Amino acid sequence: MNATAVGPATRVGARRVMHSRRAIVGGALLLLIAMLALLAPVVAPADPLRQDLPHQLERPSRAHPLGTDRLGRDVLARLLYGARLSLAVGTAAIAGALAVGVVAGTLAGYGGRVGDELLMRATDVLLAFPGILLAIALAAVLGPSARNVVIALTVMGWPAYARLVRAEIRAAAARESTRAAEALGATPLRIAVKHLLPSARPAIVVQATFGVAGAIVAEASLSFLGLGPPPPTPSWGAMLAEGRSFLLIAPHLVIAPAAALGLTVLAIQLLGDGLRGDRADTTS
Amino acid sequence: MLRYAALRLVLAVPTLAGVLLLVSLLLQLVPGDPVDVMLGEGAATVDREQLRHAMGLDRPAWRQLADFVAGAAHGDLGRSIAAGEPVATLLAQRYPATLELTGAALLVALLIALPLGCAAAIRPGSPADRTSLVLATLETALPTFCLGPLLILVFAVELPWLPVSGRDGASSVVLPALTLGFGMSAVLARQLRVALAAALRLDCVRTARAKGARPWRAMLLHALPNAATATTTVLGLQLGGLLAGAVVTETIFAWPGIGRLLVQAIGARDYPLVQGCVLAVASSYVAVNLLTDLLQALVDPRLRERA
Repeated sequence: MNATAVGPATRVGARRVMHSRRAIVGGALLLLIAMLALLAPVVAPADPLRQDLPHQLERPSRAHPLGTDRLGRDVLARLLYGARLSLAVGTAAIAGALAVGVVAGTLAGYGGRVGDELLMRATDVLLAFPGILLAIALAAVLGPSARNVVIALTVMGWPAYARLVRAEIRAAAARESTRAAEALGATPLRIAVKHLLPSARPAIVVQATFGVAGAIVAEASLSFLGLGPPPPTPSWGAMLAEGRSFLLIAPHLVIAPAAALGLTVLAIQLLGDGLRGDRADTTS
Repeated sequence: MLRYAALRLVLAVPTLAGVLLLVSLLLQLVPGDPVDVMLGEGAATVDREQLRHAMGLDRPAWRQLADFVAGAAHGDLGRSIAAGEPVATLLAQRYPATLELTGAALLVALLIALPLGCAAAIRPGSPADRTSLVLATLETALPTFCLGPLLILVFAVELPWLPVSGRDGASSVVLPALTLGFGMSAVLARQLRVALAAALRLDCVRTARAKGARPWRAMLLHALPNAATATTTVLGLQLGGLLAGAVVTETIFAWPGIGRLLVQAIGARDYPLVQGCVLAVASSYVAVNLLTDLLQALVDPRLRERA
């Protein structure tokens, strides 16, 4: 499928990133966004929750570089704090999906037929829910909160990782080196951890990188639909939803969060492209 | 062909059963008492008991599951709490609008993807090829809920050419369909490019070219049919994405389809209706994938033989 899937494990990671211009640009941009998010309390021009009703829906100015929203809150400050939520939820959701997916995929790929059948049928059912629908349904019944968004995205995301890990593990299990370890009496757990998972790592890293971008978009979608953390928590999706009502008089309320989301996703994608190998995109 | 069709149909049954089971379990996930959540803490005891009984919440969990599945098999999905009407009736009212939107979005996606994919396959590295790459990146970076409001801003506010929202006449479907269809056009174009590039190397295409067929003729009559199978699979999978994406797009454009119904049901904590909407979209997706498989087998006899 892609270059890293057949390449040796060491090709992914620091060395590959340094060799790809895309990965450097994407990584630097992502680092900048992460730093701004982390330092939001220091760099934000104002408190993201402080209302200033006389100055509502103002266009960008020196005092408010990206203008103010319907309650006179500083849009740039809300954007910066929103970045914290986006990055935190996106990473947490993918970490959760990875944890479940790697364990399930390893069990399915190297744990015997019954477990394999059960797990694969479970992923079949979960993957029968198109796109973000399952996450919407889960977030709807669990109630709107950042924690529930992470749970919903984890449930939505793990089947894809389980499938990927299972495929990689099965390929690795058939190799001579694995057979040799088995013959030497290594326990299945040791084989899985020492021999199978390392060879699955490059594919997992690439998939998870793109996964974070997907999870950030998904979080914004849920927040847009009112299923994210409740107001007044700053969130890009919720800012977009709110800004829609003022398209005529204050378009910056929509453009700013859309641009922030777009830039973040773009940075992660460039990094992912670089990790995968610049030329591999012709086969995807 | 009949045997293949029957086999595919049978294989879809356990998936559908799993979907049904999962949707019926949703109600069990509501934290606390669903009746409290739906009616509010201040509701009269009589009303609460009545709703509890009507929804079968006073029965054991396994009975609730069995009843839900049995009811769904008969087309009975319970009653909407907010509207008081059967969920199935509400779904039937909204379904055509979603169908219209996804159909129009599919058309948009094909209109962008077909020429772009063909041009990119003929000349790899050409401007068309690079455009499709840029488009693919743009699509992820500009999800529906960003693109939608931006399109409204340009084509309904700054240039008042098209209606902002609602479903009123043919012009009202343009912006929602563009928003939704744009999101899948690049994936489709990239897929088509890969499949076509492979098909262009087939003997039949070379023969056609050797006999003097023009490049475009060889492409359309000989390579495209061979590239169709793989592309149809992606199309089927993407259509599911369209159905789910319709939830957001319908909300942006106040389009009266299943997606908007779902969001309204969530807002009203109308859980039976939430279950109905989720079930409707998920089973449509299973049906679309089944149809895709059958369509492919109809077009490509090799798939039938393999089964």
